Amino acid sequence: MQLRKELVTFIGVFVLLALLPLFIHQNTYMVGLLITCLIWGTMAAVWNFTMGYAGIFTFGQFGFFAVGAYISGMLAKHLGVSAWISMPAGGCGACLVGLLIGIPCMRLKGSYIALITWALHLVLGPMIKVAEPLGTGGSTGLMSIPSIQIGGFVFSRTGLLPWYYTGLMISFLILLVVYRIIFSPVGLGFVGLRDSEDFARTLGINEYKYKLLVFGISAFLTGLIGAFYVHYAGAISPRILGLDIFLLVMLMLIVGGIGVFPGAFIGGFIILILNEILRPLGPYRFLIFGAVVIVAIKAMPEGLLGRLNRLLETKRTDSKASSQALP
Amino acid sequence: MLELDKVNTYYGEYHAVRDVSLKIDAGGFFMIVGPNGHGKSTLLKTICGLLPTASGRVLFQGEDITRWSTDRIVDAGLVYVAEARHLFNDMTVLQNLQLGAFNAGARKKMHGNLAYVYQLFPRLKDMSNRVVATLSGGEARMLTIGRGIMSRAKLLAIDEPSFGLAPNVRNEVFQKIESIRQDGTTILLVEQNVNQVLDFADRICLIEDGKIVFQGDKQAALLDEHVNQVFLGE
Amino acid sequence: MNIWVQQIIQVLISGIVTASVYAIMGIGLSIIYGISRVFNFAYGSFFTWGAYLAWVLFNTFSWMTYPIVFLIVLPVMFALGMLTERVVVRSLRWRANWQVTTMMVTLGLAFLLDNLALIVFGGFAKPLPPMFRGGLNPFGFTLSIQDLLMVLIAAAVMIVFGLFLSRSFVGMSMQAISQDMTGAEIVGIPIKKVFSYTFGLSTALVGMGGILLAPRYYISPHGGWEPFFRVFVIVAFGGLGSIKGTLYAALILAIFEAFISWSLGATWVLPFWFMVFLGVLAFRPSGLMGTWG
Repeated sequence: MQLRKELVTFIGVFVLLALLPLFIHQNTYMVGLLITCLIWGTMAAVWNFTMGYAGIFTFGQFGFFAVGAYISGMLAKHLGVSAWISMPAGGCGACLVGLLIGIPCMRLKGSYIALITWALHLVLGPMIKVAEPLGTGGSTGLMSIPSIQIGGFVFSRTGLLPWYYTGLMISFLILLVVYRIIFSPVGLGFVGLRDSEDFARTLGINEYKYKLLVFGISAFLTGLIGAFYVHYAGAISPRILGLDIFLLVMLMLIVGGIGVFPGAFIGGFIILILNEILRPLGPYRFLIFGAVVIVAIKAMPEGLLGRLNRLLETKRTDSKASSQALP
Repeated sequence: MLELDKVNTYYGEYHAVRDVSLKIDAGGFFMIVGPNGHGKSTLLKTICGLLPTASGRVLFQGEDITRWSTDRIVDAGLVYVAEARHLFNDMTVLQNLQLGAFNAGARKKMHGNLAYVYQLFPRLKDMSNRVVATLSGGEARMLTIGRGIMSRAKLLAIDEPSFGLAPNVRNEVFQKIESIRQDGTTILLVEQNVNQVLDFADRICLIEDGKIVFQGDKQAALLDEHVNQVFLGE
Repeated sequence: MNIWVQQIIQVLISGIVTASVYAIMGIGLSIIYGISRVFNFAYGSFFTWGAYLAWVLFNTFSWMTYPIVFLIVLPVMFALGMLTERVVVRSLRWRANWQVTTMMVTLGLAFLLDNLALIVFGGFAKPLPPMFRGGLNPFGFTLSIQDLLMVLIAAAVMIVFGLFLSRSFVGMSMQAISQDMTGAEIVGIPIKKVFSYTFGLSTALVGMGGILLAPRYYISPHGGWEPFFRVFVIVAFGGLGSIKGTLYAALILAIFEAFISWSLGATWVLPFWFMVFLGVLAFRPSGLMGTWG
């Protein structure tokens, strides 16, 4: 594999994360916070991948997250399925939903996909409540979802390190998949062509198939991390589809920069830590976040990390010859 | 009346208009010719504010209009007549014409302007209540030009008016444009079908690859070898 | 008269009343999308704020009446809308992915507004005084004068708006932009100004909706999302950008909602809207009379 700066950053961040607990494993609170950052950072990263690289404007990622979580949770709780099976099952379920929505949608214009997926997000809550007889737990939600087990060892709710490293591994795998797709020859070619409308039109049906594939994969990955979440948290309710979390994850995208890898993942850490710091402020917290969204989008279209990215890039290409013959 | 000074325009990364400088005098009939896709339309759109100028200046009646928004440019009397109709399809002919006189000055003289347009294009008067989507190519083209003069433009920048029209209709269109010119409007015309309109033009400019390859009087143009090559090539 | 028929007509009336208010709000959303091609996610928040501003007026001045409230709040909402367009939305238009970034930025605005309301007004739902007490009993139906007024006001607004669109130059320029934006530019219409007015108008309309519905439904900081969703479905059903479509859709869907609520109960209402939305997407994404697909 080529030694890209994205790969270096990616590996670097994960090495850092793997080593971090050595220093802070006493502090359960911090480890817990990091796990949360891992989960939502990954979710943001997959969303970023779908929007920033594949150019699919989707607001439906939380829907996939919830579907993955609910399926895994219900399988584990009602049918006693092991988490290692129910988690991928959750991913598959989310993928199915993704394809169901994607097949009619990917032909439509960008903003329509955004509206449709956003509507999916909005209605999933009531749907879950209405499906209570099926075991979704209605508005109170599912509780006492079994922990993850390896062999006989059950992950406890107090010793968080097993959760941390499992989460880290799942997160790493997910991001690796994302990375491989983005920087594959097909992926790079797609991005290059995507931006010029005329060429994109000649892609025609291939563009549709590719988008559908990406959409399905992103649904699977999001469902997977959602499934991990549900076992970690032990419970889930339709509140997961609340707009508060939506805004937070959106902020991760914005801060990290849409289309920057692994910006959104890092953004996850930044935002959630900020969220903790601001927690004592009560409702002012979201007021500030709302304002931050507005300011960040307007002032930093490429996100904090995108800006950094660009700075690094210009330093490198400064040495190249500046005159490129124009057609 | 209109002066361009080293104007450059980009379509994304593509350098469509390169260092174009030209001068158009009041009352003249200035024609821009050249192969398709070489920047003629882009140049026109840049002049009229529909595309941003990357560098260079556009001066209209002595004022620098380079950074002006299109509505301000129209107010000043420089109006673009598009090749792609850009008409309001769900509205009637009359409503389209009325909108042509959108700017405040023209609105006051709406009645007079409408009368002038109807005199020039009698068929438009007959069709005044027809919905534009039902118009034929030639009728739509007349309406586009008619709408353009509703604001009593001082300079009309017309983009390939004969495109897609039958030869006899083309002739009619060119005649009308010449009448408009005789009534005092300066004409800047982009055309591919040179032959029918050559008689009316007084200055010609040839654009290839976004650059001006020739600029001068019609007489000089007819004598120039390269220009003739292009003309004969049709 | 048969008691069933009586009940059905009662439900119909209730449906028409809600439809009229949704129609106004639908027009607001429709023009924003139809003309400026952006989607204002803060629409629900403006709905709430219109109602809150009215509440403030009623609470501060004991002599306050609805006509005065409208006279004060609506221009304020209009100005707010124009301000939002100018400050928040405008600069995004010339950038990459502007439609999605606009959605995001208006979502951020929605949060700001909702939480601001939470901080300023607290979480308890607030009522507005009824416009008119008392009712009529034509043919034995109950029809509160308030409801009748709502329908009349809504109808008046729609008629005025329709005339505005087709007769005034500003209105015609809005239609022009929605039919051919480049054509509108060519003709010298100041596009940016019209976007501003459109946003202002849309905000005023939704604010009005908020005030009209508040006496019945109470005002709460996050209370704008449900109406927003309904209006969104209505506009999608009727066709984004078609005013007539919005009107028909509002009527059809609100009446349906009234029937569902009456026959199956309130819990089925939201799923109903959802199914309508899915149906629209699956069978006719451009809506009943949509001009954009």
